[in-house]
Amino acid sequence: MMAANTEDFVIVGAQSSDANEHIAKPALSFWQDAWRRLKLNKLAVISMWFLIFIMAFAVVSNILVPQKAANSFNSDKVGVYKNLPPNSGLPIPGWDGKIKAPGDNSATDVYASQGVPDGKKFILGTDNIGRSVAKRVIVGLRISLLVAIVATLIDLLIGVAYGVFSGWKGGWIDNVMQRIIEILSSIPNLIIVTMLGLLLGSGVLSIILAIAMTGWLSMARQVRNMTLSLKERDYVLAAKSLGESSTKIAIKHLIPNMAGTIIVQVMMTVPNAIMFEAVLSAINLGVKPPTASLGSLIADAQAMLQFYPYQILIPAVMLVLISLAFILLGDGLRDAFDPRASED
Amino acid sequence: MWKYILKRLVLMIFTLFLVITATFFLMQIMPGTPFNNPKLTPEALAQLKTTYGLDLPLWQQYLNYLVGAAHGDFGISFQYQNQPVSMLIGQRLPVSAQLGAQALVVGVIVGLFMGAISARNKNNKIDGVSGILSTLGISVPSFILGIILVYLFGFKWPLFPVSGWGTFSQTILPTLALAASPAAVTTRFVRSEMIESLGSDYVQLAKAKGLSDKEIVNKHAYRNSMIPVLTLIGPMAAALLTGSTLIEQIFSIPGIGQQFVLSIPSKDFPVIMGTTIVYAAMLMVMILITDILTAIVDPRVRLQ
Amino acid sequence: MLNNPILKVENLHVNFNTYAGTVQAIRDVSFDLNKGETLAIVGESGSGKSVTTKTLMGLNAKNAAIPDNSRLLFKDRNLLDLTENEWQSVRGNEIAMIFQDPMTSLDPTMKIGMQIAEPLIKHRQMKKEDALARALELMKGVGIPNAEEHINDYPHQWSGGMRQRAVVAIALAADPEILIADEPTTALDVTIQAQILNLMKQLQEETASSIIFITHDLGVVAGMADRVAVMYAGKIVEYGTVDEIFFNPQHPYTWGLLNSMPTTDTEVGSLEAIPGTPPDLLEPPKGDAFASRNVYALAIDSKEEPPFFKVSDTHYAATWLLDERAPKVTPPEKIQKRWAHWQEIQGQEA
Ligand SMILES: Nc1ncnc2c1ncn2[C@@H]1O[C@H](COP(=O)(O)OP(=O)(O)O)[C@@H](O)[C@H]1O
Ligand SMILES: [Mg+2]
Repeated sequence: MMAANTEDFVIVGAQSSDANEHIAKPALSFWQDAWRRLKLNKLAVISMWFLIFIMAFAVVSNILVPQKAANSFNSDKVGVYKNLPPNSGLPIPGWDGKIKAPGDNSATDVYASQGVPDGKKFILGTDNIGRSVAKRVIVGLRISLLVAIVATLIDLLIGVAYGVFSGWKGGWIDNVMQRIIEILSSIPNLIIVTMLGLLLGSGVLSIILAIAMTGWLSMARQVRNMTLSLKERDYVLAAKSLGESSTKIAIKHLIPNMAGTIIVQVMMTVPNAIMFEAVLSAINLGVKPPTASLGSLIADAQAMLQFYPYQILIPAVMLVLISLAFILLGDGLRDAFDPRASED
Repeated sequence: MWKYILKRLVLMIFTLFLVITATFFLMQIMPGTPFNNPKLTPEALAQLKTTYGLDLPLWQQYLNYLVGAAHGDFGISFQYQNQPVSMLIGQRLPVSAQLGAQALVVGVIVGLFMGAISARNKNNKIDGVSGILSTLGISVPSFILGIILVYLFGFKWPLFPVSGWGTFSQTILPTLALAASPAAVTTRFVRSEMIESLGSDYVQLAKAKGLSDKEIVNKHAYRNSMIPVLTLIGPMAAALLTGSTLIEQIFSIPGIGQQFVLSIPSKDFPVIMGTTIVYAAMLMVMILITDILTAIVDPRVRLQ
Repeated sequence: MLNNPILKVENLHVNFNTYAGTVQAIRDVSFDLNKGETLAIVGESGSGKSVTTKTLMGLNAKNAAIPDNSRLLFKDRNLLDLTENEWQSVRGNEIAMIFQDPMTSLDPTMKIGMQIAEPLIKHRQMKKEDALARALELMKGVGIPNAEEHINDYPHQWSGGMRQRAVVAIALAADPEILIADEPTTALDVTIQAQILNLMKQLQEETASSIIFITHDLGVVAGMADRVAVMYAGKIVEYGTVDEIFFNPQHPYTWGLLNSMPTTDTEVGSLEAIPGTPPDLLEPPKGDAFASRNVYALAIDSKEEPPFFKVSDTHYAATWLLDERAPKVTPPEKIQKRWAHWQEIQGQEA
C-alpha cells in the first residue's frame, strides 16, 4: 500500500473529478446519432451516393439528351441502323459490334454487314428502328424516376395527412377511415392501377396518378398507428392544453417524431412505384410511344429477347439497381433510426 | 368464431358490391369501345348493342349486371363473341390458381428455411449469402426474373420449356420466377422475427431452464417467429396477382392474367370487369383464410 | 448462522467488449452464499447486479470476457470452467433464476403448464404426463387458484402477479439449491410485490434453498434477506448482516441508499436520491469510484482505492473513512438515528 500522508485524510467532499467530466459524452441528437449509425453501414452509404448520382444525372441529362434526340430516327436508314449490337470501339468480346446469332458458329460484324458508315458507333447498340439504346435508356431512366418519385411524394402527402387525421381524431371518424383502408387494401393494387390507367389513358401524368392511388395505404396505416401512440405523450398533451391548434401540433410534434418511420416507408414505396410503372408498360397502359421509360424499354425489347438480349439488359439492370439501392438505403435507415437493431 | 367469420363474409360481400359498382360505372365512362369500328353498319351496331344489353337504360344495365354477378355471370365477351366471360374465366382460373399456389407454397417454405437458418447464423457467411439473395429477391421484379429465366433456360441452355402449360416441367420456370419474391420477403421477415425472438426474455428464461440451443429454437423460437408469417400471406398474394399477369404473358400460360392483359388493348370491358371482380374476391378470401389460420395457431389472437 | 458456503465467488471480473472500448462491468467481486440463507445484493441501476447474476447462470452476452483468475466455486468445481453442456445441467437444475418482468418472460405461444414442466422433462427425465402432473402441484404450491382449470392457459390470459407466480414455479420445478431472483418484483404493483416476496420466503422455508436476491430498493430487503451486499460501479462496497447494514452502515454510499429509502417515520416528500450519476465503466475512475458523488470524500479517495475495513466478523466496508487516520465524520441525521438504534440493540444483547 502506498504510504499515505495525513493530508490525504482531509475531507474534500463531492467533486466532479476529471474522470467524471469524461462521462458526459457529447449528447448526440436523434438525427446525428442516426447519421453516425448509417455511416457505419457501407452498403447503405454506397446506395445513397448511387441514388444521389443517378438523380443528379437524370436532371442534368435533360440538357445532354433531350427527348427528341432519343425518339427520332431516320426512316430511310432503318435497315442500316437497326438492331446494332453494343460497340465500345475496343476489342472486348461481346462489346465490339459483333454478335453471334443463335445457330451460327462465329460472330459477324453487324456494323460492317449493315453498311454503317465508318467511325459511327453505338456504345449500347440500337433498337429495332435504329435509335440509340443509350439515349433511350437515359430518357427512360428520367421518366421512370420522375414517375416513381412524384407518385411517392403524392403517396406521402395523402398517407401522412390521412394517417394523422384518422389517428388524431380517433373515435368514429378513425373507425370509418380505417374501414375504408381495409376495403381498399382488399382490392389488388393491379386492379386499381389498371382501372385508373384505362380511365385516364396513357401518359406520364395518368401513370403517376394511377400508381399514387395505391401506394398511400400502408403509409396511412403506419402514420395512424404512430399518431395514436404519440398523442398520449406528455409533450403533445402539454401542447394541447396550451391551446395549440391541431394542425400546429401535427406539424410541430407529431410528424417530426415519426419522420424516421416515414422516411423508411418512402424508401420502400419508390421501388414499388418503379415496378408498377414497368407493369403498366407491359400491359400496354404505360407511357405513350415514342416516349421511353425503363418499363416500356423492357416491354418493347422482350419480343426480340432471343436475338438482341442487350436491348433488354441495360434497362432491366438499371431498374434492378435503382430498386436495390432504395431497398438497401431503406434497410440502413431503418437500422439507423432503431438503435436496438444495430446492436453488436 | 363462426360469428366472426360470418361478419367477415358480410363485409366481403359488401366490399365486392362496392368493387362491382365502381368497376361498372368506371367502365361506362371509359373512353373508346370496341363498337366504334367505322366498318360497322348502323344495323349491325344496333344488333350488337342489343346482344350486349347496351340499349337498356343505365340503371337497368347496372341491376342486370349486379344480379348476373351474384350468380357468377359477368356477361359476354366483346372480343370472343358468344363466349360468356364466366366461361372464359372458369377455364383459365384453375391454371392461374395452380401457378399462384405453387409459387406461394414454394416461396413461403424456402423463406421459412432461409430465414431461420440466417437468424441462427446471424452475421456470418450463411447469413450474408442469404441476405444478398433475399435483398436481390425483393428488388428484382418477377417479370424481369421471368425474362432472365426464359433467356437462360429457353435459349442458352434449353433445359426447361419456356412456354405453355400442362406438363409439370412447364410449371417450373414460371413458378420459380413468381416464388422468388415471396421467398425473399419471408426470409427477411422470419430472420428478423427469429432474431427478436432469440433475444427475448422468454428465450432467456428457456436458457435459464437449462434447455439447449436446439431445444430453445425448436420449442420456443420457431413457433414465435413463424406465426406472424401468416400476416404476410395476404400482401404476398396480392403481389402474386400482379406478378402472375406478366409471368403468364412471358411464359404464354393460358391463365386469367394473360387474358386480362389481352383484354386491355382490345377494350374487352366485360372480361376486364369479370377478372377484376374475381381477383378482388380471390384476394379477400385469401386474407380471410389467413386471419382464421392466425386465430387458430396464435393463442393470443381472438377473433371478434 | 453457520458458515457453510454453498457458493464462493472469488475475484470475479466481467468485461464487455464494445465498439467504444471495454466496459469493466464487474471489477473484483467476491462473496459467499451460505446454505439456506438469503443474500441480498443492492445497488443503483447499472451497478452490475444483473451482470453478476447472469455470470452465475453462464448467461452473459457474447461480448463478455471473464479473466482466468475469477472463480465461481460451487460444489467443488469452478463454474467458469464448465462447457456449455455442463452448464445446461446446472441451469434450472442446481441454480435457477427468476426474471424481472413476468409480462415478457413467459413464452406467449406455449401453455403455462408445459412451460413449468419443461425443466422437469429436461433435468428429471420425466415423461410429459408426469411432468405436467408435477407442474400442477407446483402451480398449487405457488398459490394459483383453481390450478387444474388453468394448466392449459396461455400467458396472456393471466395477470402480471399470476404470471410471476408461474415464473417462480418454473424456477422451483427442479428443486434448485440456489435461486437467483433479479428484481423479481420491480415490474409489479406494490400489493402484488408483497405477495410474491412472501411466497418466495415461504417456499424457501419449505425447500431450504439459498437465495440471491437482487434489488435496487433497500425497502424490500429488510424482510427478505439474512445478509446484504451493497454494490457500486461493479464492486461490492459494503457487506454485512441485514441488521448491520440497516443500523450500522459505514459506507457513505450505503448511507445514501438508506437515506433515499422511504421508511415509516419519514414522509414521502423527504426522499433524497443520491445526487450525481455512477461513473462510466469504460474508464472507471482511479481510487474510490464513489468519490465524485461523496460529500464525505477524502483527498485519498481520488488517489487510492480503499481496501475492505473490518467492522465486525460479518461486516466489512470499503471506505477510507474507516481508516484510523481518517477524521471522524458525522453522517446524515437519519443515519445517526439508525446508529443510535444499533447502540440500543447492542446494549440489549450485551
Ligand atoms: N452486453 C453488454 N455489453 C456492454 N455493456 C454491458 C452489457 N451488459 C451490461 N453492460 C453494462 O454493465 C453495467 C452493469 O449492468 P447491469 O448488471 O445490468 O446493472 P444492474 O445493476 O442495473 O442490473 C452497465 O453499465 C451496463 O451498461
Ligand atoms: Mg438489472
